[in-house]
Amino acid sequence: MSDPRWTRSPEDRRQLRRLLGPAGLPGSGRLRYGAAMHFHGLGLIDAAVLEAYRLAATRDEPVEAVLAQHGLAFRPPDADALTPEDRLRTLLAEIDHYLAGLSGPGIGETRAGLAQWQAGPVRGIATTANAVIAEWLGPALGALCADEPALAQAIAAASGDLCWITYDGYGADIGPDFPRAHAFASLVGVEPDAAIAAQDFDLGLFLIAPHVLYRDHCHAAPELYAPLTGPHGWRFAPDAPLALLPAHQPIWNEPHAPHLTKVGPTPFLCIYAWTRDAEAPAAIVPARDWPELEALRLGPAT
Amino acid sequence: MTSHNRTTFKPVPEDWDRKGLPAWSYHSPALFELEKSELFLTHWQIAGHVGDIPGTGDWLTFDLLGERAIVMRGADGIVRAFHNLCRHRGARLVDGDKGQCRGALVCPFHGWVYNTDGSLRGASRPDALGDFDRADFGLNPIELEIWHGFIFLRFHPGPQPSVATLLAPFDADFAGYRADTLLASDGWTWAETVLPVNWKSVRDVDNEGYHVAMAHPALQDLYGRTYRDDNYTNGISKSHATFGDRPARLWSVKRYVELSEPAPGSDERLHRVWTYYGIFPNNVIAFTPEGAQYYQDIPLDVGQTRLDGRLYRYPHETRRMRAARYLAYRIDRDTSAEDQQLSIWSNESMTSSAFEGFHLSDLEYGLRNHHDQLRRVLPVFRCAEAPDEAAIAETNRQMKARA
Repeated sequence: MSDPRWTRSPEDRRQLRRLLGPAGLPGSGRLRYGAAMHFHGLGLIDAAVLEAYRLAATRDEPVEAVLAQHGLAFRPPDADALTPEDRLRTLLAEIDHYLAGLSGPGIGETRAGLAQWQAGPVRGIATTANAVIAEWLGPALGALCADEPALAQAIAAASGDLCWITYDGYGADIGPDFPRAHAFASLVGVEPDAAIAAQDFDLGLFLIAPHVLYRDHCHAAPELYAPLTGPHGWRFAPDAPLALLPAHQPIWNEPHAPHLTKVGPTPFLCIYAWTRDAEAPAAIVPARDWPELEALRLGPAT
Repeated sequence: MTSHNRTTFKPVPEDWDRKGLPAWSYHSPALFELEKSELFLTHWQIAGHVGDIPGTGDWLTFDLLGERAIVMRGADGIVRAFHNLCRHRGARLVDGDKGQCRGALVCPFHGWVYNTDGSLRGASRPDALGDFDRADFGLNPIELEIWHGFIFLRFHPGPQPSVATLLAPFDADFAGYRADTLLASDGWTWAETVLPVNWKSVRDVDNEGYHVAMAHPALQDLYGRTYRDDNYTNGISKSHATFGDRPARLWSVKRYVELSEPAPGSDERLHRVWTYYGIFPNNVIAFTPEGAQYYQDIPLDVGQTRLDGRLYRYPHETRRMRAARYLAYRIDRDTSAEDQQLSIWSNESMTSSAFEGFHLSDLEYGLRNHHDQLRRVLPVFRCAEAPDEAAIAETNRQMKARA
């Protein structure tokens, strides 16, 4: 464990998360430089090292290269100084930043709910191995990395600290594939396994294996899907034709509005939010064409 | 609070001077300088709504006549306003209309770093700054008041009372609209426009409903017969009209009336009403049952005005509400285009030798009310003939001293 002087206060922890953030991403250099300024104020980073962070910020490059150029021996704390709570809060910050760049129905509701609840205490939750996550989260993050590397890295870093659940409450009507081919983790929500408790609000990550059909269903909760991969097939009425929608196009399901997802060749990974009525159950909405849709293979992403 | 700055209802008098402001006051650069220093920068301006900046680090900007503000929600959740100037060399700390700052504001010029509460976290190359106390170099704050969610700024102290006092007659309406719950609109936004007119020509058109029947077919179809202007002291006004009591004829109006759906929990008396709250000198907040907007005339110079604003919706709006809100937006878009042409014609008329001033109807008393407040703030508006440009500031000072 690193020097405890770096983590004396919640603000220190917040800044340490930024200081140890990945290099190479647009704007990441300024994040690290801003954090370095915090630790300079605490006397933990001297003026020469601070200047190295400033120089590294201009091109978002790793500070280590600049430190070496200037013959400075400084080593920032190791990443193991970061706790599961740090990784979760980094992930929530990245999710909020990602959502802030989207527009459409439900984004405002989701961000307002996140702002209301995310500062709450992080609960000690039991993490268990999940086969769907083990197999498909990596490929999903590989696809996401090209578009949103910071978010992909934050999910990867926190995924082992989350309680991933494969839900089995739908019964037989959900079909043969879905019950063993999906997993979700509540980050802020009403679920007992949510990392941070909330009332009547739930936000998390949702993963489904390639080609799986999530049959038509509905619920009282208004729901935001912010798909991080794509394209995937969608429809919003039973027996309607599928529409292929790309990654990063948010989908807002109004209360009781039926919706279906047919996963494409890339695993489906999304940020989901239920912005009210978060404890009301979901129900399957019958349709005639499920066998055909389950057999369907959508083409490769272009 | 003194009784003279409380806002009270002001009926149309039996007998009143129906002239408008003198024509010279729409084209005088010297007067514009006075308006800048004694009107715009010393009176409340709307910069946005808390729904525009829901998350920590979210910011929006507001520029006015050489001043530039950043409004930001800090890591502690508190919304603050600062001058958007680095304390080192004055560079803009953020650029653009709105965005999100992640943990710190880093000046793009030399790299001074500010916390989200405006305090200086530290300066780059602190060893080169001599005797330097960072506590002396926080961002300069700007006076800010949040009223029913709307964010008001004032760059310099001025004669208006607090926003809550100024707009107290509308408190029940804004509570009835649940204005503090509004969220930023998505999908369509205010179409920013620059008009080649003095800002008062825009306000003169917007401050009365006498022209609705002639100039705004959609508004007339929607609510023309019921439109009323209520005037208040302090240059404040409320215009309101009900709709849906008779069949509409125009497509968008007909569809709008069919689809209009009030926000859940809003006051029933506001369910079939459009309202406009005029806030002296240049701001309006408008509500329909489905949403809200504010708009303002931002003077760029004596003969150029930027029309700006933001649109809002209610949380969890239904598709029907969204459709109605879009139709209301279409109606407003047409109305604004019609008003813009009227503003241009009104403004250019004042350079004609044949222009002899306004002769206002009782239905245009809103102009008079606005003009009266301008005369109170800047008595030089009372000069029927243009004073010498070089003497305008001094003339105003003397008139104010006499008053």
